[in-house]
Amino acid sequence: MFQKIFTSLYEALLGLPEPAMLTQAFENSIFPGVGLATLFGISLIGALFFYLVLNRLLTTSLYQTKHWAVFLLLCAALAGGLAWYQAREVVYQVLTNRGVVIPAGSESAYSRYVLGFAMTNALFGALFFVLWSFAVKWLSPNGKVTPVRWPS
Amino acid sequence: MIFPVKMRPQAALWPVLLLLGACGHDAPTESSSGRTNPAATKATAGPVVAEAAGEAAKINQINVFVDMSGGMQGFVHPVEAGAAGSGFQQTVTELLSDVNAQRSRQAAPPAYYFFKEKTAADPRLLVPSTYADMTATISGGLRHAARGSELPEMLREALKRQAQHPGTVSLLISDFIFAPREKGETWKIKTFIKDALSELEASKLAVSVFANTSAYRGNFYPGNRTGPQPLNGEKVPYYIWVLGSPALVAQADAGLLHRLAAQPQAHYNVRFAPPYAVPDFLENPVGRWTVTTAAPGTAPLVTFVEKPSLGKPAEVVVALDLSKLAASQRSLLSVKTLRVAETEAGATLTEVVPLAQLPDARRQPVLSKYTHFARVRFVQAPAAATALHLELARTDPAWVAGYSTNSDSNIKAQGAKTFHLDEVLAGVADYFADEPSAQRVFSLPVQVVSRD
Amino acid sequence: MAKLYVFGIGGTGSRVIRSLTMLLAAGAQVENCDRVVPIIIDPDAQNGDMARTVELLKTYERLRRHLRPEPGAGQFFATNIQTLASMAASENRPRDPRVKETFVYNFGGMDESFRDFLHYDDMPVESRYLVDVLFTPQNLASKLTVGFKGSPNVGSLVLNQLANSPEMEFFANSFEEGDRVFFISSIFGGTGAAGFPLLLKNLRNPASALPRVELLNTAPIGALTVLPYFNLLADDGSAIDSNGFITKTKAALAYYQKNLPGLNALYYLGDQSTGQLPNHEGGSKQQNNAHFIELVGALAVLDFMRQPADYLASNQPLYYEYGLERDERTVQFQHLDPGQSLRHAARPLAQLQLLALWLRHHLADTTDAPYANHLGLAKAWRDDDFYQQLQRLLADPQFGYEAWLRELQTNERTFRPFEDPALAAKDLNRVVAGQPVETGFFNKGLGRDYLRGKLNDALPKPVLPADGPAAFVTAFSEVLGQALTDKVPGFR
Repeated sequence: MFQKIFTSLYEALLGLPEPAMLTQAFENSIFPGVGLATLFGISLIGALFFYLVLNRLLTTSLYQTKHWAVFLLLCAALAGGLAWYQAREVVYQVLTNRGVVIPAGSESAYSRYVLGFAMTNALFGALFFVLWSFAVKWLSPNGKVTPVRWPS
Repeated sequence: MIFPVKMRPQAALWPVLLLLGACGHDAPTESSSGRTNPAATKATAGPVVAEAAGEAAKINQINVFVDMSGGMQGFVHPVEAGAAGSGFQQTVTELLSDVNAQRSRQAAPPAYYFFKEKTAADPRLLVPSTYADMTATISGGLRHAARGSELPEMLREALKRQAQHPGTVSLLISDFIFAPREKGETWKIKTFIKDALSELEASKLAVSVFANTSAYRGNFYPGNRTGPQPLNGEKVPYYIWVLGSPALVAQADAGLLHRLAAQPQAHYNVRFAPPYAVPDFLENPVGRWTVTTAAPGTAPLVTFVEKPSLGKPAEVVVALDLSKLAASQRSLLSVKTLRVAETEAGATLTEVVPLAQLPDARRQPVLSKYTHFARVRFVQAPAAATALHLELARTDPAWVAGYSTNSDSNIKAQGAKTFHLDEVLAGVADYFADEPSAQRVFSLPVQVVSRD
Repeated sequence: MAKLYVFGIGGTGSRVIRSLTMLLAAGAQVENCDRVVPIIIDPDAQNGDMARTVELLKTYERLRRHLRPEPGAGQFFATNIQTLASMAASENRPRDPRVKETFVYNFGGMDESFRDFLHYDDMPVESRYLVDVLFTPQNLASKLTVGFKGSPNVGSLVLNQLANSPEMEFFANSFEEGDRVFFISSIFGGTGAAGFPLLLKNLRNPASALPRVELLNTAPIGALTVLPYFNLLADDGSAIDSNGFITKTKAALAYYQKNLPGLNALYYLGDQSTGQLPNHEGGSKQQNNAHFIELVGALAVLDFMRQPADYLASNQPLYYEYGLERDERTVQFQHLDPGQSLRHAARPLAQLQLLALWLRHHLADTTDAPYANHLGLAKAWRDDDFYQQLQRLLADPQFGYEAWLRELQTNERTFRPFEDPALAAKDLNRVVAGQPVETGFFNKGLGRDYLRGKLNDALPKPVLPADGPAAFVTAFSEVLGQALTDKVPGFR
């Protein structure tokens, strides 16, 4: 299910994996893996950390919208970095296991795709953080109106 | 974990990865991940043995039939100390040894039979023997050579046993000089052979014929029933026939008979399954498609992510490992003999090149497993999921004419030829004439589908 | 519900009412009553002390009008302060058009001289001689616009007309069973020393022409008389000479000894005069800095209200004096009687101080926080009348709380209960002088984050704009009160 969701999400923005020989690697491993890690490992953890740790368990002064925005950017950066790293790592492993290399003519397409993937995931990281924020902010007495009061 | 086993430390990612590990049940992606399942990944590009599960069964028993007619006597003289045995003695001894070595691997131990004609004194056609007895006979000579033997009867006997015990492979070793009892029936050789084979359904039967020659000493009894002609070391042909189900014969050909791979051979309805794959990592791919193989041994699945069209065709290259195929068959391989069957997908074969001519070969070492590459061009999207088959058409072996003669009365002058061998093999070919699978050497399925 | 009528007579009366208002703003409890009706009596219409007290009262009243529902006991602005006129309106009684919507009794523009006021020139010559005996020529010549310039003999004559004013009539009409009256005056001044016995006599006179005289005759009445506590700088041109304070005080006390009929409780307050104030005969320049003794005077009002009515009736008159725990020139909370002043004044004041500090130093940085968001503070702070009035009440340079506190801190005997407000910009741990909050590595004490968290907890949901002021007062009262209890030593 996650595989389908994330594959459609990424491919809607990115197009099909380049080169086509990496389609399986991206669709079966990289998209769902990075997507899940971004959704839960980065964005959810980020939102929980911001709302529950910093603004529930603790009462820190990092509750304002500007601090939230910093977390947003942090999530985006982490998500981008994770996507880039993970894509290269999995592709490297897949190619090693298969004993093949990317054809010379496709290398630049591959680099572009990975870069685009990193940027797309940065966007998703930020987007997921926003969604999680609205899902968990009611749990945070000190952050419940960050970044806005809505929906309460 | 979906993350690489070999991890380079990247400080910023560690906490995230740990957290993910803590929260994560990512099983669905793990199992489908190519990287963590090397077998699946390999299968994508690796060789495919196209066998349905049921036919992957191994050989249950090997029956060895050796002709003990007087015509064989010239191959098996006792060998003096220090001298080498005849080619026949060497080859057959090695073959028997190989058969014997397999006894523990099969459901039933190998059975050995001498074959002779029916006489009043001994009405048996087959004389059961043992490995020891048979090797001793091969090296020490026939003690009670029969007057002759009937080739159709020998085939019939072998096939009967095969029919009773499915999974049996029969090895027939003889000079295969078939002289019908009535001299006027020589023209019916073809029919006699065909009728003999009908003991077993054509679809369940395969025949491989390996030809060889050996020094012959002593009287040679010509097939056209003229007087014997003494020979002293001249070469005379003998043959090893392999009978069995199509898949098992292919196994035996590649295994037991590997020493004869270079010899002239003819195959009927043998299901060869050369390893093949559809590599997706070649330079300058045409069209957008991906390849998957669900499980090892199943056909690769080509998925067009962009539907091919006349303006935007797609080209899929099928890599073939034909190294196990007889050189004679291999040399036949070309755009003309190779064909794409069941081309509802609108596929055409455009090129067949050997490994050496493939530009990617040097960059991609994996490709060295394959000997030939066939380029298949698609100009339309398959309507639904279909399988196309890459097939090599069977052709009549050219060597047969050179091994055949209409009269072997003066074999010394004729050279190594066999009486009406062409007729004998024509009978075999006739029997399989209506069996479609017998018309091709191999048939390799490739599944094709378009992604919506 | 019962009311308390506070007559503040003269400049001292205004100043004590100012301190009383601060205490009420802080949430000090006035028992046995839910409304305080201050009536300031000062013929000096331009008196600076009076003017800023009136402004403060008006601000308080406007501000409190926004608090619906009304704040509970112990919360900021718990007690209602009303003018005579607005009280009538709130009780749906016809309003006497002659009664102005003000806290001040209006003498109707006395710009004539005392001589003209007595119609001296129309008197028979015998009467003139009598007048000449009782009053100096300066007394007779001085204008009445700025009061009686420390001359009770002048004041006692003029103030007599008060009893026949429409305000007194209106006051008497509104008087009900259970209501109380309290007079605040100085004994050494002009207006107060003369006015207080006069008014008392009128209220207790069974033959008085005032309505409901039977209620007035029996109602509990208390009074605060402030003895001299400051000196005036010598000024040869002034009619007021502080050297005469003691003499006048002695004379007045001798008179009070016999002539305060029916007074239930009398509070005497005084201090050895050490501070010197500039000498002003009156007018807008008579604006003296707030003094600790005025705060104690306000406490006298609270003390009076705490006494049960039957206790007051059966033991009259009760006399009270005030004593510090230690005779310090600089008074802090720890010098107050823990059972009395500390309990009734220090806690509310500390709470108000926390509120003022928070609003000055921390509100702007926390407008993103849930509590501020739920109150809509970012906008309301600028636009809503309640918050406008609150800002004036706390921070107006003339009459605001912060100015009042500054004055207390610079006067002699100094009252310095709180540390320098500038220290509170970072945290509030040293808010109460001499009682610093304990802090540790994990305990930041009364930090901004701590209070913000508590405020967020107190205001977990958005509040309708109309309910904002009441919710604001409730939340801050509870949070700051609890913070004092939890964190500040001495308040636990």
